[in-house]
Amino acid sequence: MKSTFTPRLLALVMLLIGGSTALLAQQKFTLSGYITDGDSGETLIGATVYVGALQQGTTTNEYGFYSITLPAGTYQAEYSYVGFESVFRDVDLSGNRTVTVELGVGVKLEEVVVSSSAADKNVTDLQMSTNSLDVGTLKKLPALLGEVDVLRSIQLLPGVTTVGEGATGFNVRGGSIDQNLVLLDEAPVFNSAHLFGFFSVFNPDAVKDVELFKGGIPARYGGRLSSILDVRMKDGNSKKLAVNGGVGLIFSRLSVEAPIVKDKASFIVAGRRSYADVLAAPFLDESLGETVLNFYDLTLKTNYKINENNQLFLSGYFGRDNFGFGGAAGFNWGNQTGTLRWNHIFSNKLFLNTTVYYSNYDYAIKFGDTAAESFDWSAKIINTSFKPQLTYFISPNNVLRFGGQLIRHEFQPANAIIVSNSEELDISLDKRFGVEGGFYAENEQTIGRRLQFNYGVRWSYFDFIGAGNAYTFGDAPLGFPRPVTGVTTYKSGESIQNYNNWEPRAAVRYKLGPDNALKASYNHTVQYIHLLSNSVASTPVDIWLPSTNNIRPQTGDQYALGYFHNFKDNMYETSLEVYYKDMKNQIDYIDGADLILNEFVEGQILTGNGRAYGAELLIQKNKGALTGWVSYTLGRSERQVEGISQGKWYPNRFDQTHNLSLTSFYEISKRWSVSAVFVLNSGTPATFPTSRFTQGGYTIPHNTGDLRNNVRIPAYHRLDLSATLEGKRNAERRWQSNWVFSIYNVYNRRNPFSIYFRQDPNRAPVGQAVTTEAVRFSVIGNFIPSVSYNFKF
Amino acid sequence: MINLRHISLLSLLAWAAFSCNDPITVDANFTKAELVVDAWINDQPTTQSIQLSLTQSYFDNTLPPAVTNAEVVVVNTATGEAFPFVHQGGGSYQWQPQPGQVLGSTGDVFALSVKYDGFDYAAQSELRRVPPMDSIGYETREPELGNPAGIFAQFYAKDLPGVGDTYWIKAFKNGNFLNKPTEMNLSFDGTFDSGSGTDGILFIAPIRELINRVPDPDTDDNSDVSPYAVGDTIRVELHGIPNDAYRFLSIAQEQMTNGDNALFALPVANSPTNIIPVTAGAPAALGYFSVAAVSATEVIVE
Repeated sequence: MKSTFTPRLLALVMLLIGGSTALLAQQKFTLSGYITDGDSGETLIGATVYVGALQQGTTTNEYGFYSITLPAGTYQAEYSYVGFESVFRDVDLSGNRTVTVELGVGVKLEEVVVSSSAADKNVTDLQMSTNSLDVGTLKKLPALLGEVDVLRSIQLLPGVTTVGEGATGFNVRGGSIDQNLVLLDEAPVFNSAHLFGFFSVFNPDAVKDVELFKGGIPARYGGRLSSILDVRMKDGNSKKLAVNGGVGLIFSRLSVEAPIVKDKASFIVAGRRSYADVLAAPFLDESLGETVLNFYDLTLKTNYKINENNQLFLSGYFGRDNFGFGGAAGFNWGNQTGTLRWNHIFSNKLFLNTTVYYSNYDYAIKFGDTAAESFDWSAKIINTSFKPQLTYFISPNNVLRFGGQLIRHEFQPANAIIVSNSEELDISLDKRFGVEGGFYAENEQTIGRRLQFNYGVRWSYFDFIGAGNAYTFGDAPLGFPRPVTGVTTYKSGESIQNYNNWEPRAAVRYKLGPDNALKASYNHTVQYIHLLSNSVASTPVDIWLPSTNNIRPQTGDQYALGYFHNFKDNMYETSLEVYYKDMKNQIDYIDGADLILNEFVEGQILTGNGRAYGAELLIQKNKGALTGWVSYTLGRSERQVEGISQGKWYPNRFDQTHNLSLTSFYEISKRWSVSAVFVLNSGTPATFPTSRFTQGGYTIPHNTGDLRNNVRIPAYHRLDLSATLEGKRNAERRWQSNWVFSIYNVYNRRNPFSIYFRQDPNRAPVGQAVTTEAVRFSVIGNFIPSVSYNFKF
Repeated sequence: MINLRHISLLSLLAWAAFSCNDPITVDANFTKAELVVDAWINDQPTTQSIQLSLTQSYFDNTLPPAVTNAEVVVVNTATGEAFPFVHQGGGSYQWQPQPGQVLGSTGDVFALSVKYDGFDYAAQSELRRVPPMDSIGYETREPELGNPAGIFAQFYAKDLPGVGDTYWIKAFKNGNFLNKPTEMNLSFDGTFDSGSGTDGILFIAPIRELINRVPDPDTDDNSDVSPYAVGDTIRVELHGIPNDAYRFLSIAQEQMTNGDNALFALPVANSPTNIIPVTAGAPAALGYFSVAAVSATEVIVE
């Protein structure tokens, strides 16, 4: 359809790749291999190999593989990763060499705060607008109810906000929650929440690496507008049996990892289960019947190294939240994902990863358990995908990545049966299908000491296909549902509507000096599937819809510019970034839209424009007894939709002007360490009624002027503290343990999630006026102390 | 079909341990009072009344100011008959039928005209159809799902065949209309909303049973008390209303009860009025004009 790409750009890409290959005149050989953690055998992502004599280096990819091509000669190569002691190897590069290095056997240095694989990565790395979080750091943060949580933790990073405490999902640089692609070992997770958003589905014991792309998204990622949260699971200890566990107030956790065949095959199994139901049982009314209130997840992974050039990984996630009241009502939801990956090394320079994944998010609701009256509804979102990705390490100055992806989307919005007075009614909605495809090529190129580029393009394709009905809608007054005017039935696999887009991506780094750099990036992103939700926080009843003949794909353009500066031998890292984002075909809804169980929901959708802009500052201290970071974001996120707020630009419900967080860790002694987090955010916008009027015996709120989100709720601030006591170390024993004591919301502030307006829930005497009032709703209204015990052996 | 409130109630249970709700004072920014037309009349041979009032600040917990000096006329455009509504005090404008006289019959389109403060306002409404009310049943139940033991009632009626019928079910306990927002009972083709594809069905259970009053949390009529007792009169009226009237009421209900949605609150929205200012420069008015077809039945609990 619409294309923003010109053939000239492609020509330029070819020229640059071709040009740099032509420079390879002298005889060269390739040094390649894996870099792993010597203790666990886990591959290290982003570890560096540096050849000092040539001042050339490279980093390992997502699978711990590196490849560097150098002129023939004998060199000393330095292998390093933050938190480990470097290893030096003499390499005689008179031919291609494979060198696999284990770092830090027995020795581990103090882990730094926000992980970066190389000490000066902040400055030297091309990638801007990216943050990664180290699991060791996550575990030291003060956590709500003592539960270490990936998604709550990334909210301490610049550019990441949420509509409020306890809400599902997160907002990146003013984008809505469905514009984040949340990946667990490459499989998308459609709902990352346990307990309506309190906790996320990622078990910290099974997570190896968390990386968030907020901008400058490389061409190898696609499918969402705003961000990519790439969560990678541990492979499982290939050296020895390791058990991790913990007992907290909400969950108990246990993970077991061990080699199946030493250094060849290993596995990890990690599980968590809540016991809120056990704790809550005494407080619940007996007439509610047997109450079920629990959630659990199970994360599994195994890998098998077939030979030097082939390795297989199989991983899976199964989680569920259950709510039930006897047989009379029940509600549950959960994700299941499965990923099979095959790493293949064609040559020292050409690395292939092929991924096949399956992801299923489903939920079910039921009311009534008699034969005469009941309601059962279940829904599913199923994705299956095939994704080959190649990396060609042409030279230290040139890495070419290319590949493709094919996704089959299946939406089952409702399989629903009502039984009313013993009559059964099937009110199921049609399934909807889509095929999404894409090809990409990106080239990372270094020119001289200072300049590095990554430029590429992704071509994406979406086909809304049968079997199913496609509806056409007529006109309606602004703000009213559009009536259905036509239905066409399509056969299985038949194309109903298709779209394709070129998505150019580019990033550049220019090193100003040894410890500072300028970076800039641009990306065009396209999103073909959409989450329908008009509530403040999204519910587990997620309704996703593909792009159809009525709903066009969302598109976004983001421009970012940043300055990066490290001080005192990388002890301090700083960055300042500004961004501007322009979004099209943003989805909104008519007032009173009925999104649930509505076959004609497309007639209630409005589309408009979005824009977001801001500045992000991050200052980190990485070394010493006191470490931590300060993150500050100044931002604005707005949209403009005909039919809402008089068609004027209005701030999104999750817009936050200021967002400040301070995170610090202090090592008191060998056994005691403490940490603190302070956050201060501007209040989010809200709409208040101005007046009330009576109608048919009711008192109804009214907003004169019909402006949306024109008032702000009070600012949010909170301090959390945590102290960790390491158990006594005994060289004879493998058992290690610690106690974590934490207090969430230390000074007991009732931060508003929202201000809502209500009537006295008691009946007004006949002839008297109804009482109406404003109420501040705080999700967490008290300080919450907690204690948890963790162990490993 | 399913109400968002059902989900939020479950989530509130999950959050109950930590969350809190504190009444606070905020500024309503109420600047000017607007005309409110409350014109929900019907095809019954009984006194028909239209209330005119003004909006008040959201936090003004008094009865709304009455509009007493307006002229109100309803015309049946099918028959040309005009029905003057005469002010009877307190902003209530009434039309008193002759014995057996009604405003019109199914399919008739009615026009409302209101002259207030030198400005003319107009609205239109079509008299829709309504199915007959079958009966009201009641039974004694054991405690279940937060409900006490007691007498629970339901009404029986079937949606008319043909898609697109909208209803407002009004229940009266001992002559008093159950008017709490949570008791507002609306139906689209026998279920809650459009788009579910149901038609001609018996009204679904949650709608049939909403004629049991919602208990007060803080008065003697709380959740330990049976909704009905022996000797009570239960009256249920089924009002066939236009689709846009249904939409007006359903947005009103959503907004009145939005606080119950907690984390999942919906955007604040205004119920779309059908009262149109006719005179150039006339300020906007609020409210709705609907002429409903009504079927009703009544029972005394024995």
